[in-house]
Amino acid sequence: MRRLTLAALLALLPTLALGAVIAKNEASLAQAKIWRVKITGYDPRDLLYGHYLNFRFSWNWKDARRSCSDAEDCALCFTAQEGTDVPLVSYEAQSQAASTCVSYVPVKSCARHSIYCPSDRFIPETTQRYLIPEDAGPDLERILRDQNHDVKLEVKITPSGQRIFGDLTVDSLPWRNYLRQHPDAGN
Amino acid sequence: MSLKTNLQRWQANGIIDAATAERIAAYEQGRHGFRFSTALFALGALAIFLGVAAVIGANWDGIPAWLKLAAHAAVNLGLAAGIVQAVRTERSVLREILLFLLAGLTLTFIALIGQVYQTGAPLWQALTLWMVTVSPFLFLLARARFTIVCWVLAFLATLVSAAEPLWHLLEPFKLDMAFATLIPFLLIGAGHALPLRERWPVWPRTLAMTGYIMTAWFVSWAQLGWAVDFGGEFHQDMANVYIAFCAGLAAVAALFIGRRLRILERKPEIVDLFMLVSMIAGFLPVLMAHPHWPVVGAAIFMMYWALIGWKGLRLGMRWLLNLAVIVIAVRLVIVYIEVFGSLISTGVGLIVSGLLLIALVAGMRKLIRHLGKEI
Repeated sequence: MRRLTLAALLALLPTLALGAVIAKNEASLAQAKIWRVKITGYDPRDLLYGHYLNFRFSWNWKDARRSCSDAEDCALCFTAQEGTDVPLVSYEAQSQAASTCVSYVPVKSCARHSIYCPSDRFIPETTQRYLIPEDAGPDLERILRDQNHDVKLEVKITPSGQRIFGDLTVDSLPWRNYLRQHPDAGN
Repeated sequence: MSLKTNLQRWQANGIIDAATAERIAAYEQGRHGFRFSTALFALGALAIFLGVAAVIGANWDGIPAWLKLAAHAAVNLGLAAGIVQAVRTERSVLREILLFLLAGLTLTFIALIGQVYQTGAPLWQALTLWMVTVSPFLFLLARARFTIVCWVLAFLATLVSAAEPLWHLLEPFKLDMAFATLIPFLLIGAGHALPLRERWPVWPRTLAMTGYIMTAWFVSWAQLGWAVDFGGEFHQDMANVYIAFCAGLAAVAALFIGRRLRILERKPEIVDLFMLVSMIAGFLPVLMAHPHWPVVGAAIFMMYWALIGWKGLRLGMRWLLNLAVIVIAVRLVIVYIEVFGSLISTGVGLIVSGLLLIALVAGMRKLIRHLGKEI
């Protein structure tokens, strides 16, 4: 009986643990500030990586300083612009970012590591990935390569600095609606 | 040699009678029949897991995210209930299939969460979460070797994916190489620990075997280090190597002492000798200065695998002996291609290698027959 009880608890553990992860993500999203950031394609030869869209952010920098100093832990600071949800960004010391920025995402300076940057750290200037459905890949790739479209990505930032990608929009429409309305998109 | 041939030979030599031979033949046939159907069940479970993974991978956009998550959670809860029922009714095959499915579908559930929320979390975090949540119920309930081997492979994949963050964590203390060196020893220690062997079926043997395979693998590849000029100069990065070497030697000593204190299962001395030789052979290319010496690397490689073959012989593991012979033979052929550059010299080298190989195999066969008679 004791073994049966233990077996039941351990078999339920994965689902309960992942349920807690989902609850945590939902709680974070409820408090997240939503920004829309323009994106561009990274490599015209290989925008698609499996079912990911490779892209780079086209940031609106607040000032000329576009790197963290070697000695400090940085954060990418998001400041609101009037009448739009497109942010102005700048690098600030992480210790001050909470008080001076509307939102911030920790970014560790690459210079602190002798060989390369840790791959699990958000680095604003490098290539990012966005999961897309299997059949939408070629159309989205063409749209991104075209550069005549205004493609933006929702970036949701929680108070703790976690960043979560939201919807992709093309010319202010959610990408699914855009592709439905423009079946020849990107051709 | 087939079972039927063996049974006939044993009967002819008066080792077993006809009735015993029949009982053995009937038993083995029943076991193989069971194994075949179990293998098909396992393949079916694997197909289900891969199918679910593919559906999630396709990012099936027609279904709302909340419904996908709820449906997947419901399936996983159903599997958990099925496992409990299978344990209660002592249906071992069903239990093993459901355990495998629950482990696999926990991974797909994690992938689905990553897909829905697009947090961009690195792979090592997802795999670590998976291992932490599925290992407890697998350790308690899984007994099928297929499932256990899959767990071992997943464990190694998780370590590999976490290599970079682990390096960042350990390198400032110069412990990164020591950590990697000790992993096989931890597996071997867990596999031979007497309290575990007595209470935990199947797992210990697989863990220990994994440790030995990892050791042989890394030491074999380390012999490539002899092909690189190495001045032996001490510099800051060498500290990692020296610490790792000392940690490895300490681990060998711990295994030896553990067997003497009866904490670990007693094994023939050849087993601990193998680990000691592995540490020395594995680290030698980076501990002593040497020029470009590929032939030395090849010679050490072949001697190392000869030791593995001898270990197989002493432990009655015929397959290991046969494997060692094949590996040595292949390496011997490669030596001649490495050492000689021109077509004519490579051709002559290959002829000599072929003759040596035939002589080696003939000699090994005689030795095996001779030693087999002794055992």
